[in-house]
Amino acid sequence: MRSESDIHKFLELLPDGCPPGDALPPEPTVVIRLAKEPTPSAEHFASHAARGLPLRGPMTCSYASCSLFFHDAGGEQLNAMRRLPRFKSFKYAYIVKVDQGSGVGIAGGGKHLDLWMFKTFDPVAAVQSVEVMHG
Amino acid sequence: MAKPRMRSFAQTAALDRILVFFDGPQVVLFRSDRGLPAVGVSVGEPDAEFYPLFVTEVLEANWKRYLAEKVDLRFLFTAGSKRRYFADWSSLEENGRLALSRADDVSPEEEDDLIPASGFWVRHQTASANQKSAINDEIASFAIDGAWDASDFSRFYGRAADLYAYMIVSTKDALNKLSSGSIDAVQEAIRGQSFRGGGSYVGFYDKIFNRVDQLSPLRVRRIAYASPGTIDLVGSPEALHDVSRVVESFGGDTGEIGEIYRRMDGALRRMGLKRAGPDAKFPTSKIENVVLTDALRLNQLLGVDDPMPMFDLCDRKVLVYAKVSLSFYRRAKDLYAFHAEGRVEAKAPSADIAP
Repeated sequence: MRSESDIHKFLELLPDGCPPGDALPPEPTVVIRLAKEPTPSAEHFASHAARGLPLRGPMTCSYASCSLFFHDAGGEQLNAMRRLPRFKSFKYAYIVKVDQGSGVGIAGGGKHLDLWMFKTFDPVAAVQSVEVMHG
Repeated sequence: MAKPRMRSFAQTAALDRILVFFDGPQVVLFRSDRGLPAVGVSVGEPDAEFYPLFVTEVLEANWKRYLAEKVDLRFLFTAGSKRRYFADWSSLEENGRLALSRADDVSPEEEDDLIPASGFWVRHQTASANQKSAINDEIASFAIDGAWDASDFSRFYGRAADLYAYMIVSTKDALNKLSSGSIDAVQEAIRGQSFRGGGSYVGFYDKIFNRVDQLSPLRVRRIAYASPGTIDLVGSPEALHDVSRVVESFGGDTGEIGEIYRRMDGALRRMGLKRAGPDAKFPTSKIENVVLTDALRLNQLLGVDDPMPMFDLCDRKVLVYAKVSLSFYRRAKDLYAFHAEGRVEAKAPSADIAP
């Protein structure tokens, strides 16, 4: 059960039991958010749940997280994602700096980060640059 | 009673696991009600009521090839029977099932928007390691040193692959996981070889490896060629351990392994059986029994816990089993040579986290 302070801590309203207990504040690092638009806005960082999309099956907490890729995963991973039908039109990579004040996260396979953002974190302000992806 | 016919198309699919999650599920593995793996990709713009997926049923062998990185995700949508469906993730039921509707009228132009482009491989999946995984592989890392050329890499992998296949088909548990068709194919691979010389043994190992590859593929994950460098092989943990045991058995050998090999090899040569076909007879049953005892012992010394499954696969023909055992020894010795020369050292194994 989350405490009252936890509920107020996160940017989005999270389901019970989220974020998972093993989510940790990330070390300072640079991550990437794939986007369709060249200009970052808060909506571009909204989770699947926050956008009101259907929540089904497992991974309840992930639906309420912001999906990011580690910069170290390199262009190969991003290019691979853009080969999936939904992401063929995602041409922009927001380069975002995160640290322990950004939220708590779980890294999957060393390349993907589920981040549950703190209310005090402004992802748009954390965007360092926007890169156009070719191909 | 007549065997029920499989329906031509599936009607429902059950969720196995999400393979790519980016804000929402992007690539999902199902099992169709026809018993086939079915892969769905998120397509179009979802909304609160409708989260469209384009789904294809996949032949089991192609799914294994995808896991082994021999084909990419697109291939699964373009190969085989092309049983394609639309599904709605928002209709996924509590029991993990969802309805499939046939996608027969998709034009080639539309299809290009619905299926992945070339170049998405299993390593690009984002699913976290704590999900149920269809693969439970292990990495066997070998530190390499000294001078290596392309033929050395090829020989090292070739020998490791031969031993890997041999150890899998020598294990009852692993054999039980093979389909009856695959076991028949392994037996046919043995029956179809003359075992009269080098080429027939190569054919034998190629054929059993191809069958084993569909169950527990062995693949090269990484070759870092430097001096020193690394070769990482990924495959079934049990079979990789067995291959390591084969190599270790040579390292700890007191001479008995080589002695048995030379005795068997010499006996077959003297009896003119080295170049004889699989149905050639031993001069006496006593000699045949001696050769069989040696062959069983040779296998055990090389780390095969129970030599009988392989003997059974050889139709209990002592001459065939003896020749297969001798070839097994030669491959093991060849792989051990890399270690003995100081060019290879096995590192502690590690789990291959499912991507």
